[in-house]
Amino acid sequence: MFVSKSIQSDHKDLIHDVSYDFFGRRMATCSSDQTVKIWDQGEDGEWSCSASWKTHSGSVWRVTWAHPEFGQVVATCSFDRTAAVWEERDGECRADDQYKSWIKRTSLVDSRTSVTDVKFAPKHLGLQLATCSADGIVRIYEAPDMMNLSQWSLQHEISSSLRCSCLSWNTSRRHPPMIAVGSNDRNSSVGGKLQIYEYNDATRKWNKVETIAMVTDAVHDVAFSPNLGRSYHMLGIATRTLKIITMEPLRRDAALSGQTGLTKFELRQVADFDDHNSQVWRLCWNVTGTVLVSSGDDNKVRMWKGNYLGNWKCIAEMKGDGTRVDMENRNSTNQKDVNKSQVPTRNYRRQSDVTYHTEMGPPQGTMNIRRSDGWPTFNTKKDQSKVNIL
Amino acid sequence: MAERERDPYILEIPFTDSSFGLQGTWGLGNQLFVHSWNPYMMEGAQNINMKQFGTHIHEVLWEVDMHGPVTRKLVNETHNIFVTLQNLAKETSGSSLKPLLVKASKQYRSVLKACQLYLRSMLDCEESEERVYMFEEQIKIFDITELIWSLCEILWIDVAPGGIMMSQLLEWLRWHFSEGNSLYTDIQREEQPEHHKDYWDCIYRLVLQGQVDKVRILLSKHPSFRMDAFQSMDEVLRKMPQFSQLYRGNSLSEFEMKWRHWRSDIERRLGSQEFAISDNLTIIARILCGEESVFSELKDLCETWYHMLVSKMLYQKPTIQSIDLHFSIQTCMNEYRSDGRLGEYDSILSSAFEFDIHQVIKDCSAALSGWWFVAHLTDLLHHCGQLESHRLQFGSNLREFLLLDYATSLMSHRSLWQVGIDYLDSCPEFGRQYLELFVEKIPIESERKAHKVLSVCEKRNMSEQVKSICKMMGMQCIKNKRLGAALSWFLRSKDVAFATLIAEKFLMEYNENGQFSNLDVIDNLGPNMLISSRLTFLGKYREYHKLYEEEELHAAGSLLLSLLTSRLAPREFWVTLLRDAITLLEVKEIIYGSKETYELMHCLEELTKDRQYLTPDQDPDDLADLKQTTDLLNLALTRNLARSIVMEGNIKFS
Amino acid sequence: MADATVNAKFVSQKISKIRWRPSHDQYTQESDVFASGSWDDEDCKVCLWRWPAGESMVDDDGLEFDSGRDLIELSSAPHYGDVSGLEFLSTDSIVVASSTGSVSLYKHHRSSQELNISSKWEGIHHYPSGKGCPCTCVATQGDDLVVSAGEDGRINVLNVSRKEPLRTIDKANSCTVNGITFLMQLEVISVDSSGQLKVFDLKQSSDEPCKVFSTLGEQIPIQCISRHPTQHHIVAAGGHDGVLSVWDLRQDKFPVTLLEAHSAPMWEVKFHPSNPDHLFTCSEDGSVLHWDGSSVSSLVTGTGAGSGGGSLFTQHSQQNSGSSNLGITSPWLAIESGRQKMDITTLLPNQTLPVNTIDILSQTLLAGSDEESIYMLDVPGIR
Repeated sequence: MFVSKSIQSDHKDLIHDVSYDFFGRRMATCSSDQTVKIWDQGEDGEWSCSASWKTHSGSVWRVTWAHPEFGQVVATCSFDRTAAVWEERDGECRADDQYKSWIKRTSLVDSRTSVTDVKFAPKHLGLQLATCSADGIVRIYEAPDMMNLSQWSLQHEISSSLRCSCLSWNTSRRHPPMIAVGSNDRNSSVGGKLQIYEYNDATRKWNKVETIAMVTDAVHDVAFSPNLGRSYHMLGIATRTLKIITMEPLRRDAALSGQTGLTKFELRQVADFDDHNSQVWRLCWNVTGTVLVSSGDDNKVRMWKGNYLGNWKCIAEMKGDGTRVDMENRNSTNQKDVNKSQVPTRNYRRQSDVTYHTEMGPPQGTMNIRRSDGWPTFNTKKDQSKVNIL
Repeated sequence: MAERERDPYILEIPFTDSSFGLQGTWGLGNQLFVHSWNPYMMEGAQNINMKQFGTHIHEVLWEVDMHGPVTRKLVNETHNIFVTLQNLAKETSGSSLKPLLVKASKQYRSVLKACQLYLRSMLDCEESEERVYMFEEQIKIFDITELIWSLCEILWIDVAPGGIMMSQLLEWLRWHFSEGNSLYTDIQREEQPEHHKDYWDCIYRLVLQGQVDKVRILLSKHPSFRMDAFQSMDEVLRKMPQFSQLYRGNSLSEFEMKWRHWRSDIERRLGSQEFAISDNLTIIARILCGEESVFSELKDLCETWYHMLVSKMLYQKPTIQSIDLHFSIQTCMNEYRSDGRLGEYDSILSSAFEFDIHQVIKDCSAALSGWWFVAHLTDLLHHCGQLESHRLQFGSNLREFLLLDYATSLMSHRSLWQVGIDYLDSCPEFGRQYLELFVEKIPIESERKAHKVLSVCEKRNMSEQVKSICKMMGMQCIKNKRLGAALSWFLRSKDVAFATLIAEKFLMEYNENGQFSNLDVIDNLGPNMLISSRLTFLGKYREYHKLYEEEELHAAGSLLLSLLTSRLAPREFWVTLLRDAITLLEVKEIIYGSKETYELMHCLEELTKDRQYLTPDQDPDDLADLKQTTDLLNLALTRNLARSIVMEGNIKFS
Repeated sequence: MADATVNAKFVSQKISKIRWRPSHDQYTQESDVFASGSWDDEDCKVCLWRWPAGESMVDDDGLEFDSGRDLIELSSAPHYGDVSGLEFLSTDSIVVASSTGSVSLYKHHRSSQELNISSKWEGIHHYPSGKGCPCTCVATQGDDLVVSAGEDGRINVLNVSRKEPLRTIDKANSCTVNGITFLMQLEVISVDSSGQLKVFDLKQSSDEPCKVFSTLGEQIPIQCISRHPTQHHIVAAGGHDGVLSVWDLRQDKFPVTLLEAHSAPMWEVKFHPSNPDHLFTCSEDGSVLHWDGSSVSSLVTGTGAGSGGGSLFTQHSQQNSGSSNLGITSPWLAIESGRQKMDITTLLPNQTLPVNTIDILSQTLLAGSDEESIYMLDVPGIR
């Protein structure tokens, strides 16, 4: 494991969120400097900033990409009590106004307090997005016509009665739409800080199906893991500890849930780590939901992986090397240099038997593998198949 | 055996004050982006001194071992062996599979060896110190990997009948400890071999590896070879029972008896001081007798405990069965333990000699980095039946777990995804799920690549993903104003909604400009137009235009009418169609008979009644224009009706 | 027929294009140097290789193999974006098309073995926004004329001595143009994703194609095209469905023959340059096929062999009587009657990943695959 390159973001204030597009070739960053920047990876693997614009009149907490089926679209949420949807004007922009190539399609102004999280629904649910805010309300918006992103209608308002800090959509296709909402209310007497909502197709309503009682501390981040065809859902929760829980839907028992129509779950805690000492702030699953990264109060990023027996353990941690940032240097780097500002890798590579080299870039030579016993030797009769056409 | 746990790997991020927060975000595959941040800001904390934060974003990568140019050769070449093996394993089973597995194992090793040789050759012409270091590290890893692999092959894959694998172990030694053989070659070239400083060392080394023929050649070059002691030694060496006899029909007990005879003979000679004049010959004799202490004395020539183990067993218990080897491991290891010469790899080898497959795989995955080795080895062992439940509780899961990790590391590379997919294919439990997640995330830069990704999906009936990729490609085309190309993507995935959307865009274009673009696509729709009624209408309406241009007015007229009466035309397009009808009504020849004219009138009436289309939210000019059209049409229809009735009457009466 | 000898070399790059260098000497066909282009990587490359003639030896098992024959990399140069097209213009200059929408001219300096870009037509394929759009193919004529086509449906005509395109046909196609080749000095034929062949006369000022050919039925994209080296009215095209189609451009708009062979998109088709009764194709399904039409032509003059058993291939004849009237000189037009024998041989076994490109000169066929390898096959019996 090593740092392959460092990108100078040029944000004038703290970065709050970094979000990858679906392919990992574009990156959006948002910051307290009220701007969002879009970064594109060139054919040569280098990142360059292709757009940077002021999005809100307050700190931008989160930025998130819509599925590329809907075009190049990001959503942001901010301290300024709004969330916004932005679309890249591909066919219209010219080279000289690249910084204006993203235009605001809509501003979602229903919240009366800071909007703390925004997430697009999985693509099979169409173009929907959910926001949550400090006033404890989760809002679900929908754009009925995906060719027209300026029309969003507020479909649902769910009051969670606790200030909300984060939300996550369940991406599973085989279950009804589901959202987990976390609260960072510090009062532990008000009970579970993680609520699960499920959409009922018949009543067209979102219902609270579960309040996870085992989580009573403030929740800072929550994320459903990709489902992988399992019968249960898996949730990562960043709270005072890092928790991983599974939720197995129970078969609907007519007597129990007949009246309410709510799904019941069997909850199981699979992991609970306090390595971060005190608060865990953010977490993020990899593509397949097999590795989780978390960041916490110990100022470290940790990586967790489950083995084939389902036991989770920390496999790596990342921490600052203690060097202060050279502000002067930072301000003097212009856009062009930024792209080239790669940190030589070797200096930061630790000698360990886990990783032993970064890249092998020797000049191309020749190696013609020719073994009489092994592949590839093709000069045998059976390799030839002859077909006749009549 | 207790699991040897590994501590988490620690990475320091440059330019980052360790007293502030860090946050990590996943990229694709094994790629993480790390930047500093402060969570308390979101909690409302103010006045955070920005100077203390970095605004760098650091890209962190891992498990990229297989991404270098040399290792990529390994990845690609072994991929083919792997796929071939999986197919063979499906078709064959039991004893007929075994030779195939042995062959595959040897093929894997030969590719590994070739890569190693290639690295060596590059090392010679490399000047950069860093590179040289890297190459040397890589060569070392390949070396160890091959050593472990070939041992595993002897123990579990190419299992000798009865578990008597001494001759295989000797070959293993000769292959990996080549000092004896290279000294032998050097010394042979000398004019006076016995004066070479390593003459006797070389002989001992060869004896320890059981290479008696070479020992005899070297001894024969000694000036004292004619002496009795040398002659006696030569005779002993010549008479040493050969393992090849064991396979040539001799039974085990016959062979053991021969060996006992041979050993008692040499013990007798040793006892009767036959070799006393030469210390060197005495040492050889002591080795041949399998004397415990002589191996300790020669431990530097054995180099490692496992060399010692095999040498010792050769002369102490040549027919030892593989499962009994472990009784002697500890004494050999103890010889080397004091020097601190035991490392991570030694524990892997000792686990292998102890037949603890699980531990071997576990330690290899920890010590050797990258999943290439463990994934392939585990797969082989799985096919050999060595991971069956009576040995390991979770055998097949372990195989899949490792293959998935290997595939994941390949999917993290820009170019190796095609190889990764084949590995996912051979994971019965989660392979498909992984593939579904990964395949949609493969960046697509060109149509050619899209076709390739789609081929992968179509081959595996992943219709959901096909639809999604086509939709993405189509949307991109729409953004780039390439409607014809967009349509071809939606047609490919049979996406009715979007094919309709494009058809509507074409029609809108016609409504605005009075002509069609993308004619080459529209004229060539063929049966594809049937997937959406709007597309059918577009195709048919364009057909009407062509007929009209070719002055096939009757055919054009009836096609136009049928578009209206069949309700294929969208209501908002009726005005346009009726306007087209005016031109047909005004030609000299009568196109529409009375029946058809009535039908047209009926359509007009229907349209007039449907206010939505007659009073749209348009500016007054348009509305007036519309009014004019209806008036014109009414007039034309009435006139045509009159004309047609008259004509039809004439026909009837004539 | 004797079996082919296959040599494989792993080159750590997925090969998208491979081309023999035209022979220096006009009178011999031999060449031992070829160029390759790679794709889908962080750094794509254009490389020149030498494949020296080898001596055959017989190993212990009685199998023939070449001794001491090793592929040598002469030089390599970086390329920005995927190499989507590559053609030699002369022995020392190569035209390369990029997925970024540019076309570059690489010069090879024999003395220093250096390979570098001597000129570049930047962004000549692009979207209305100005953003680059993949160029998909190039073709060359003489030693200075180049045409390129792309996903933008545009065709550019370039002259190596001019910085700007000589001519641009902006709306040559509503779909993606997948392949292009010269029919005559100033006439090109293109194939596209809507399954059409369009002939453009570069002398005329009109942007309209002068002839359009199409397959019947559903629009199956056509991926590649090759012109018969001597009979310029015959072209072979490879479809997305793996079907090989042969067209007689003097005929109506439909193909003379459709032959199913590959199970996935056909990426390239090549007539043998000096022995055009032989044809080679490669495909996404990982196979390389050798189509031997020489037996067909010998049968044409005979009484017409009776057919036996069901045909493995669907054959499609549009004009049953058409071609015979014209006097058959090529087996490719004769197979339509469905009674002739066509030998098809699989040249590459055990290949699981796609073969993107092939080229043949004399007896040696080159193939480049996504398995990051180059194959050099000796195909005996052809000169």
